[in-house]
Amino acid sequence: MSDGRLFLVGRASWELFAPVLRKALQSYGLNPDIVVCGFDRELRLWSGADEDFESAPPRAAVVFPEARDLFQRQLTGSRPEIVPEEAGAQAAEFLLGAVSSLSARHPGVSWILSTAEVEFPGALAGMNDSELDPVALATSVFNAHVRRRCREVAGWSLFERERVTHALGAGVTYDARMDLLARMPLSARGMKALAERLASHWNAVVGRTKKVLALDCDNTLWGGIVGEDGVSGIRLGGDGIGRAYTEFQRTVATLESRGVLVVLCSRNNPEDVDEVFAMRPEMVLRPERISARHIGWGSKSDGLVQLADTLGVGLDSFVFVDDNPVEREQVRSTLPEVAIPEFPADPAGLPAFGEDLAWRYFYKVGVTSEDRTKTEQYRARAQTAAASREFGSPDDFLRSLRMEAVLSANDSSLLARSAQLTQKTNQFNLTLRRFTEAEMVRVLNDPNWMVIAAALKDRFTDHGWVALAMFEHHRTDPHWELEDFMMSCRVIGRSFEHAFLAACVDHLRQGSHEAIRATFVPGPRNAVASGFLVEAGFRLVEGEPDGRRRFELTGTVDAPSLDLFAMSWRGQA
Amino acid sequence: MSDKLIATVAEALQVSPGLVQESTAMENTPEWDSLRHFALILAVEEAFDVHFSSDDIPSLTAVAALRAELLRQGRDPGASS
Repeated sequence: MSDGRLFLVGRASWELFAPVLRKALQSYGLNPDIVVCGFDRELRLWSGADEDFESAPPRAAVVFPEARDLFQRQLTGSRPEIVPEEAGAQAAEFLLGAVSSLSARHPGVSWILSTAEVEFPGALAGMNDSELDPVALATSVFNAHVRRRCREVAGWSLFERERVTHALGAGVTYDARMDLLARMPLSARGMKALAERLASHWNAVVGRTKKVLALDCDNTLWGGIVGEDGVSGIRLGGDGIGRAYTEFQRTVATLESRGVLVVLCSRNNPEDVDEVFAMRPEMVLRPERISARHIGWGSKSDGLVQLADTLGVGLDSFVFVDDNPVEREQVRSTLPEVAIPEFPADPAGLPAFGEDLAWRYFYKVGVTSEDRTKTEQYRARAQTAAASREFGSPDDFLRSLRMEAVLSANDSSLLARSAQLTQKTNQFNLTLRRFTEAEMVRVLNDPNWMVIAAALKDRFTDHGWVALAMFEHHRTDPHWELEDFMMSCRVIGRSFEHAFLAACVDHLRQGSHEAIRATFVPGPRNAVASGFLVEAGFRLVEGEPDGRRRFELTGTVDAPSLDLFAMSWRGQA
Repeated sequence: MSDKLIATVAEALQVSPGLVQESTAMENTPEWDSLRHFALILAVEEAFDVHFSSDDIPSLTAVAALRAELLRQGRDPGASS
């Protein structure tokens, strides 16, 4: 069974996280299809050009902004281009504007916006005051904007990603190998912990959190057995292990104040329990906060059935906490709809158990009914503001990226990167010819060849050398053969391929009108490149039975989005 | 008889264990793409409680190579799963 779709949006290899999240969601009985919207697709999504999203909007979209992508290039050079506060505010405005556009068009989508996290390791290196680090400062300003908007706009919720890091430690959640090799900074444990928190968040968004916390008393709310140890003999508060129980009660009281119904289900004499409430001031949980109680000698499952009846709440909204595994099993086998967490074997684990309980079953997203009127006003205001920021067309959006391209011809300093592009580009690659570095040297030294590389950056990210075009000049039947043309999938979706090819062709022809010929060679994953030549104005000359197609261009390249790029050639002013 | 390494690889690649053999490798298995490779590495690390170095990860692209590395690290890749 499927529970709609969930989009994961962000500039990391979230594909690695998707199966981990799927497993975590399954433990809540949730089975959404997870769609990853990574490097290239993220921009397409923001520009409103992601057909999949536009035609079948998902139930929810989770956005993970990366501080590294947002601020590193702008702020860590020797001469930063912008002050950190402004960088943080601009990046937030950009992201929130993009989400507002999509949100206004597709109001059914729940947006889960993660905070950006200060990078580990590296940021704050050798600093006593994190606000002296420009990236940390920008991140904190960015997060403040995201936080505020999530509070204002219905249907958006904030996800504080760094809480996972705080709980486990960055040394545990970070995996340098995965970061460097796979562009996924999280370790296996980090992914698992993040998935659990995110699953809990999503469970809350779809409104399936629990309503009732049913608690045993002896060895659960206090240490020891009141009927045997006496009211003064039970362990509660003070120094030592008794404090574990008061800390746990504090979490229960907090949950109660947020609307969770707290009930007692205990095998005891009712008077003994009353006496604990009356005589032990360390009881953080006050009797008036208990919605109902079933204290007696029958089975726990009978007790829970009666409590459900009293409250008028279904048993599937109950969480039952009991230190005794036999009681837990009795309820589990009789009332499978009741959620029953394992209880810590060591009472020292109780405060952390309380925290987990709150996360797992009672996690709350968004606003209470008292806030709703205020929220409506905020919402109307937020939508007006969003409309003015909306991008009219995908081109408007791309223009706002302020993209700059640098081209370089037959550049031996790019030898290794050029060879690597031929070897690693599987998607946007016209012929899939692979060149070793040695072969690349040969080609660069051959006067008939022209190898042109392109680097691209935008206001957020320096993508590096991302595209390569290789041409060979033929003297008989004079023409240029496009031997290979490829572009990293990181920059697909910006029409850069057209602008790049147009610039290459101008450079080759130097005013002549020589034809450009090209072959598309189909491979397992390069379908994305197949329509490109026709879009660029090439004419199909012949198709082979194996799927190869020959093309020729006699006119100029069709590059409708040429003005989106500031282009320059390396070594020229 | 089930081989724990084969079972782990099959699960990570989301294919039937019957389709995974000693000769299975990235170059002959479409499901074993560059991203899935990292998921597979993490799955093998967890299953056998081992740690592969960043030098080794890019070359552990075949069942036989994984098996050899597990043996080198003193694990039993054939333990029944």
